[in-house]
Amino acid sequence: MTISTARKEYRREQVLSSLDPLVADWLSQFPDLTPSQKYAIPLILSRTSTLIASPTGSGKTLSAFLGIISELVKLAKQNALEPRVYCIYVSPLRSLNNDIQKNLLQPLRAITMSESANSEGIQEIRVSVRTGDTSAQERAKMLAKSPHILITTPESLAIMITAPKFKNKLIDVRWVIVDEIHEVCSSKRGVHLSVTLERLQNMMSRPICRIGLSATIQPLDDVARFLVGYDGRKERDCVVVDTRFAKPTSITVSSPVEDLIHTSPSISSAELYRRMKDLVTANRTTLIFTNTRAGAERSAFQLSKGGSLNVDELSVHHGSLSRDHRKEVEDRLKEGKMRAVVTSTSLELGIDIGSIDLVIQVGSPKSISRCLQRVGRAGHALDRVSKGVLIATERDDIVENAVIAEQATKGKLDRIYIPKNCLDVLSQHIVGMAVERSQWTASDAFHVIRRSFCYRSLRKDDFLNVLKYLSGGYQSLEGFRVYGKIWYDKVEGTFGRKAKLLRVIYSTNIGTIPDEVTIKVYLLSGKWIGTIDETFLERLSKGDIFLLGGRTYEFRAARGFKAYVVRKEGSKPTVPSWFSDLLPLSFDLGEEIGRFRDDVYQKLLGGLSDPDLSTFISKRTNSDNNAATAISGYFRAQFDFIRTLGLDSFPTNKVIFVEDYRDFENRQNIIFNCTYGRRINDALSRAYAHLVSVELNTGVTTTIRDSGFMLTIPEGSVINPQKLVNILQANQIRPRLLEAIKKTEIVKRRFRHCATRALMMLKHYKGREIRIARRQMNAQLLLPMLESLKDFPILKETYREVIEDVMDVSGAESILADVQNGTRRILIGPKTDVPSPFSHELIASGFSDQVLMMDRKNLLEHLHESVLRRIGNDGR
Amino acid sequence: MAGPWPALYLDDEDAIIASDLHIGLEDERELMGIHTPKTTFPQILEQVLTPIKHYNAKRIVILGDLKHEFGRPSEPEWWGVKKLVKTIREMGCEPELVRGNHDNYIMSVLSDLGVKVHDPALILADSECVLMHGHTVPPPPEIVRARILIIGHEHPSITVRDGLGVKHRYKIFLSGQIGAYHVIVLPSNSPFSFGSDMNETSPKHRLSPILKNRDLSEMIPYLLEIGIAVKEFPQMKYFQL
Repeated sequence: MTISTARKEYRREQVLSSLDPLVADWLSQFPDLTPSQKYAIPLILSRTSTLIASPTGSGKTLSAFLGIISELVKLAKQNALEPRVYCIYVSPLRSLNNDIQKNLLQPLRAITMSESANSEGIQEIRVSVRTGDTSAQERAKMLAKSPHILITTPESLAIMITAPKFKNKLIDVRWVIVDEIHEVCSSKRGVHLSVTLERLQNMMSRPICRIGLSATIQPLDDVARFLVGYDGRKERDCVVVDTRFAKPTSITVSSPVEDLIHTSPSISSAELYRRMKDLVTANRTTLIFTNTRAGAERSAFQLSKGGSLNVDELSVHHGSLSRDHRKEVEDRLKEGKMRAVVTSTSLELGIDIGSIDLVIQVGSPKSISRCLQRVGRAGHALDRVSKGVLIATERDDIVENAVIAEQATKGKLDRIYIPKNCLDVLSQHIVGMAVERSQWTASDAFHVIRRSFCYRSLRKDDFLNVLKYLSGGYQSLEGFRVYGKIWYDKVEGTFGRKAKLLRVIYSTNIGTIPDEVTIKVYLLSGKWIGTIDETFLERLSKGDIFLLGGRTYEFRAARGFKAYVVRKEGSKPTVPSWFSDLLPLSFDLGEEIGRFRDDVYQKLLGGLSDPDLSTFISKRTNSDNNAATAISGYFRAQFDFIRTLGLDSFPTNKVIFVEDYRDFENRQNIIFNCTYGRRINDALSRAYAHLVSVELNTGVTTTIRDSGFMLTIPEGSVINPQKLVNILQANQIRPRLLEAIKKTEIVKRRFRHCATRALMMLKHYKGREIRIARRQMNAQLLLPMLESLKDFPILKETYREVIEDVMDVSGAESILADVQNGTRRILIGPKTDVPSPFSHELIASGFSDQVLMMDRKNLLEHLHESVLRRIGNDGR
Repeated sequence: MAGPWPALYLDDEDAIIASDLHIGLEDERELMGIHTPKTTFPQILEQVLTPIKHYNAKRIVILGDLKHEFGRPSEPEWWGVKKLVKTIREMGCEPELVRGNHDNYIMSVLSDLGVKVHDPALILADSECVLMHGHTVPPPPEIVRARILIIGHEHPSITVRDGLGVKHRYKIFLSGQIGAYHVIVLPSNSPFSFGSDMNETSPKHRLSPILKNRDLSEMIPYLLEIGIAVKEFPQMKYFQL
């Protein structure tokens, strides 16, 4: 059977009769069951692992719990409930949440306190919450009076399975529910959880029934494999309940003005806020998503101006605000007391926020799934239409929105990405296993790990290198003292706990979410404009110009956790914006944008008039008049430009258009128009930049966007773009990229994250906390030294994370492979001093990073020259 | 300067001067909860031995902080020090140490090995040169009849911007007049320590009392790319970022 899709939707009566009468009684108060309930309840009752995919608010949490409650009630009636955990519910959200209140506690109370239940005198079914916030006293209570249903987080679960006493409560767990699995599985947190589930299973004598709850994502088969894992070589069985499109949605695309090329940004943003205000006043409750926290603050401020909205009815909700403030906003929303709430991402997940009439998305949500998730917050009950408006002021954003709306309506989704074979997470689990029992056979441990979907293809030598690292085996010379967390006997193939404090180290350093110190950025006037990372602040000097939330600022001073800046509109940033907080566009969406470009191009070729083109776009993408006109004007401008150059192709998903553009400073800029999204473009741009840097022996800066990338070469050096394109083959991307990212900021920072996850650098040690800045400094010093070690796993993992998770090296390889086999082609335009309209937004954004493959001696000479030049410029 | 290495060669004395080796710095990190594979020793060895070989020098003066001590070391932790002394002697060269602030427990081991230790300074009268670690105040020049002061301790480095605005950091030698002495500050030999950024750290946060709160703007930095190049740059005053 392995992974299959549920075919049978049971009738209401069938479902009710399969449940315990007490549960059926309670459930029969509702006129009908939800689709996910009709599919999933019989499956769960038959102990089949099930993945339920349906929109938020469609009652999937209850679908998962009803069958379990029914089984527990049966046991409770027979007085056969033992003092141990039967069901574990894992959620990535720590503040648990009214969803559990509504979908577990209230039904459970109603069922077990009902008159008929009372007359039967059934056993109490206990529910407890155990997270990092749970006190020692509460934990002791759970030991004495075991819960039957345990609510927890992935991290707390990983600690629990090693807890000497509480472990005994987990000897025969029957169900594990993983909530928000779509959110979890695409990060290292999910990778970590997938192994925890296998370690838990390994402690049982019979299979656990696993239930995954997912929002609308793709591909469900992989998410199902992620949920259930493998048994030996065989995929475990799982049935997918796919009710993703049960909820009707209506998405429209809007633009504040009809010409985004010639309208000034200040006018279009004034129009944007006017339009938002109109929408808010026309609806009862509106939820507004912006992609950044600063954007949320800005929008809320603009909406509050002019007094048409009552200040009490308008608020902001994002991660930088206090928990109390957020709770208050959530409560007021639920009570229907808010007219509008502006949020960055924090209201995206499953918190019950009551009834919302309209969702406004400002800017592009960058993925179809995310768009549906956000718009799905409107019309929360299943039968009500979710209404969303996507509104943007940047040209590329509007095009993205148009294609998102089209695809969402067609029911197409973009695929999520699940990281694999992460050696840092593996290290943490090996330490956990060494804590769990005194001795392991390495091959047994290897097999347990390989049962996880994320480690299916883990190589034995990588696994052994992790054991070598953890046992302190990486030494350049004999004779020094060895520090190891575990011992590892190569001959016997066994390992176990070595460090005395290992249990404490494990439980105080567990987790995969990198900790960052954020610095709040203020204008000198005291106005808050956003946050930057502490490590980015360290790279700033007085007078530097940098990008934040799409605007440029000059850095003046830093005090404590605050940085002070002044506005510097229109200036080019002087430092790369390594810290981009923007969400990357998904590749699938990028492909669709390319296809859309092609379709519009065909219409332009066919001589369609501008009004007809607008109508075509408007019908196809559900765009309002302004948006359709703006898009058609944008495409027309590109079309005319291409014509002037005498070219016969348009940049589409199949045609990568390369421009050879000389800027005002007479530098050569090579621009690639390709809408493959930031992750692929990042990989491609650095591979090309590496090539240029080696060929010309100079530094090259890269500018990366979702719609393309640009290489900027210092004045005095020039390369023929055709040569560049001819040289770089698909199989060279990976090695070039690995060279190009060495010594970059992203590697330094990700190495700190990986080393912290791998327990190489501890956050908490001997009762002390080691500050991030201190760990970062050590990470930077350690890096060059680890380069000399062969296959040091944490360094290997850092590079893997950067090229596979942050960037998409495989995607970049397949693009170039397509070029080689003729499925896609690269079109090189003539040398010009005017960039094409599709490149304007790319050129206007600040550069992203530098690739410097100069030999070290040349670099010193180059620096010497630039210092002398600067002294000369100062008039000396 | 002894080529592209963190060392000086004094012709008159036929001696190599190298500072701040900090052998075993890794152990300190381990006690802080940062696992640090031991990789630095071969690199330190190469840095010290290459100039000796090149000049066929008969004498090497280590300008303090030979071993990174943070408590009484255990027996295996002497291994690196013994190996270093042995290897230097095999090349026909004799090591000496000027005592630094990290060299407390090492004294007895060095006397077992017969290594000469100078505390607090080595005065080379013929070359009018005082060699000190740099964590203490120097003797007045007229008393010791010297005009040159060579120190370590500070681990000086510098940050330079390239044409595109990206920062690069280098270890440096610093040379110039401070008060009555011509002072030369040596970079550290520890791969694990870049040390103080001389143009981004404020004068009051410098480590050595000889440099603290002093005006270094006329001093000349020599940027070092170990094993590859060393290059004289314009005076420090041009590096106030």
